[in-house]
Amino acid sequence: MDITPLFKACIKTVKTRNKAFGIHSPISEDKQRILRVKSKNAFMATAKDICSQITKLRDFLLEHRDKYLSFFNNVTGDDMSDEERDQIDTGAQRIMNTCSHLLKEFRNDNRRTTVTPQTREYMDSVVDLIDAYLKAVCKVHSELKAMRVKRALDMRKLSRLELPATKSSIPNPFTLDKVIEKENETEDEKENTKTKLDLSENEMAIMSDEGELTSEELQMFESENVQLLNELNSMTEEVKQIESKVLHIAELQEIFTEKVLQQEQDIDRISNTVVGATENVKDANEQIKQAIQRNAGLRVYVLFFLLVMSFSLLFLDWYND
Amino acid sequence: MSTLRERQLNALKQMLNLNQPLTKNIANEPTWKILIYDRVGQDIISPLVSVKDLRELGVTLHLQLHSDRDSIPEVPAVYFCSPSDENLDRICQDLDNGIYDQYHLNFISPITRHKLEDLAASAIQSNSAVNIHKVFDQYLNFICLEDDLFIMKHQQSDSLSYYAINKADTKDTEMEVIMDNIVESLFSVFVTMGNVPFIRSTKGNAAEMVAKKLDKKLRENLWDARNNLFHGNTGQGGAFSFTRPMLILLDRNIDMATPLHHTWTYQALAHDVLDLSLNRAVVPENTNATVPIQKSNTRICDLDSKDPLWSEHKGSPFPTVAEAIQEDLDKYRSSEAEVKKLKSSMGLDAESDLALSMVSDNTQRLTNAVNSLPQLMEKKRLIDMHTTIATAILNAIKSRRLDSFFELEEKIMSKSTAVETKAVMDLITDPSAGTPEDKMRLFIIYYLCTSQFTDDEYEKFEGALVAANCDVKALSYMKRWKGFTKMSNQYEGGGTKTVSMFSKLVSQGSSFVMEGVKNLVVKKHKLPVSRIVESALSGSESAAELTWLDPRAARTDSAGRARSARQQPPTDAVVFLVGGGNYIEYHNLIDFAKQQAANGIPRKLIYGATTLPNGSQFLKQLSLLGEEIQ
Repeated sequence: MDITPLFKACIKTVKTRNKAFGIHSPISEDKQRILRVKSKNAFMATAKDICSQITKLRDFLLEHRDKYLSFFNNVTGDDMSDEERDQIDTGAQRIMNTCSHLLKEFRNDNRRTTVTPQTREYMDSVVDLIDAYLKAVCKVHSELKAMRVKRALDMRKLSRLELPATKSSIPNPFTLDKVIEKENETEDEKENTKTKLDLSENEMAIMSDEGELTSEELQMFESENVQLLNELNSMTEEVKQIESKVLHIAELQEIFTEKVLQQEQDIDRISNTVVGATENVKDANEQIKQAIQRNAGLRVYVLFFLLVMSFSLLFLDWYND
Repeated sequence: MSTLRERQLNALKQMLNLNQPLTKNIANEPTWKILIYDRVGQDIISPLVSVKDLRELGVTLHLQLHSDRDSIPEVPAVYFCSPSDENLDRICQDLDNGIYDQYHLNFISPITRHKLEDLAASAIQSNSAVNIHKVFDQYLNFICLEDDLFIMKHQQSDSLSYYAINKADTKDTEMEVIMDNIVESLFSVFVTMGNVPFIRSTKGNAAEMVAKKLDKKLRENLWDARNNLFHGNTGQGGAFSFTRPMLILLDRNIDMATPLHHTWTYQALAHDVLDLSLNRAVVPENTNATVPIQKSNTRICDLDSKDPLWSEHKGSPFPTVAEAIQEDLDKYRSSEAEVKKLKSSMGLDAESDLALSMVSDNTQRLTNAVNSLPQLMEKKRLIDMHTTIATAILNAIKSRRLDSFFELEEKIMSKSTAVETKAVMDLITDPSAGTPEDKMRLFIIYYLCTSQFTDDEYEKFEGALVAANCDVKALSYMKRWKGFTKMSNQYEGGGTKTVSMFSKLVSQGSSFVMEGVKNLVVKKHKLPVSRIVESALSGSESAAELTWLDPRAARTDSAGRARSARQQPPTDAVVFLVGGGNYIEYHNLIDFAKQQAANGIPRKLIYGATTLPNGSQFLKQLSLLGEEIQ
């Protein structure tokens, strides 16, 4: 239950009470605070900066999302041309790259500053949160791009009249699958191709005897029609199947790249540690070698000393005699 | 209709969202905040949200109120604490030091006008009145452990224990304070649920006092037109519930045997053996049996509702749980083997021609495998955890022979077969069976449930118990208590039957070697608490022993009461035990609700208590009470 208004009322009563009793609250500080510009915390300023950039990108993407995705929307007429879409793509990619770059730098800068463990934990989690936000916005963008690529490929495949080879080159990865709309598209395309076939038939008829088409020719043309129709249907079936398989592969690829990127950092760290470790081992070997040598040398000196002393003793003994 | 737990969670989330309603947009910009709580707040938050959830909500740091905290500028600080004097002092200190820039103060229970003025005074003193953005009263003074189980306090809960309520030298003022706390907590529960209950309670003890106070408080609040908390309550996002539940207030004294009873369900065993508290169990792991000095590390396991095995089996008897863990382990192993097989089969296909069908099949399988890998890892971790817990419990059962205690106690409590004193005597004098506390518990249950008990036998047993190193102070208290209340035929049904367990377990090659542990299957039975609840909800005549209070009714005369008593009794109920509850009663109540649902009457039952002591803790309180008598 919100008791903020009650609290504010309490503050007012206490203030009036203080005035009545003549207790002066520290007013001078208040004035100073109004005049003085609060020292900006560099950390928070940068963090907010990066955040606002990502937000701008997100708003932009969401705003243009409908237009971007309207492919067969002839009614409204405010399509985007492909160049505009490309522009949006490259622009968004660029902004995302700069943002991630800034974020990385930000993180490294924070690592270098020495602060208390609490503040460090706070800084790390702020950076993590911004990271997650950036990833979410990137996902929005990549979904848009994937939808667009998928549509383009659909159209390309269906405009071909010949049978597609079984070993067609695997197209670019895409992730989303909207089956219903695709079926509508294929029906549209089928009608277009059918009309194209009709036209070609008519042309052929005109080019041949410009007379009536005999019943045999009619039948032949009809059967050809039916055959072509069946072939086209089977083509669409195969296209659908291939598409679904490629979708799976694309999903896998995405997952793999994600995992590989995650592991990259760890692998870098491990390789550095390993290099350091080999260096240390080498140094250790050398030092052990030196130690052994010095030990041997010491022994030699000690033996020599003892030998000399014993000979001198013998000599003195002989001399005194 | 969301559960109590969901509502509390929603309230917390909204609080963390700086008291603005939660919106669901794509990729929300992160707002950073700092959460500061005191011990009460910590207990409330920890069963509901994990650290990961806090991070997702934008909480970058979570700190204790009474710790040294650094100054972190430009970020709102959300305080969640109870309005006690020391907390307020610390908050004023923070305001003086100007540690944070924005303060959002949320008090767990309502703050008095006087304290609010003190806070305002110190805020003006430190010139930070402008920084305090919001002050809220969150009526959340209870800890919700499960969807339908709540307790009042966890840390510093000694002031609310059975001992504190029943000890001989409790002053009136202390009693008043305790009662006020309980009423406060119940009030928050009902504000969170959003409806006003009918109140029924047993007569003539602490429960009745609580009932009267709660009735008064609810009535005051309902007739206060300005601050009516129950008006709509749509801010919580919950639907207006048209059925008012019945609050049944019971005192611990109606049934003293159940808290001491040895347990057999998974959750209750974890509570008894492993000190399950706030959904967290501490499991000792013995490492290195070869080293003569056994280092036992403890491992902390979180048991919450996201774990499917736990939520399904927490109320089932222990052998069923062991079987379920084994099944899960087998399933996990088979899926692991599939993934490994995939690796080898994929290797073969890479060289041969990419025939379309082969590729599709393998990609399908590969996709499924990769997608399921994180789930498999999670499952493995859970199975590991449950295996550790179950092994620890099993070890305890075997070393203390808890199964024989349980069997004997069930026989005593059900009175289905005549129990010879010899059997009880045997178990008590047996040095290998159980700790002294177990034996005391068994004897107290035996003493309470048999109607005639000669002084002779009593002396004999006392001697045997002393010989077994038991602490017999609790007995004097129980003697006096038995004299006060007449317990007769409190338990019906019950009893156990042993099922030959070797067949199924051995065929599965169980890793739980449960030989020597009897596989006891508990027959359906009703504890006194469930029976009282049943009679109250069905509106039968025996329920007339309970007082009836309705905070919404304008008149409290007996005519109005009788009229409303004849109306349709409500279907939902909240059962609250003053003096301590336990998991056995909770599971029993849930079984009762399920049974009623199977008979066509859907019921929602919520179980609450002041604290949840396990058997040994309750015994300690009893012995403290016994000490005072002497």
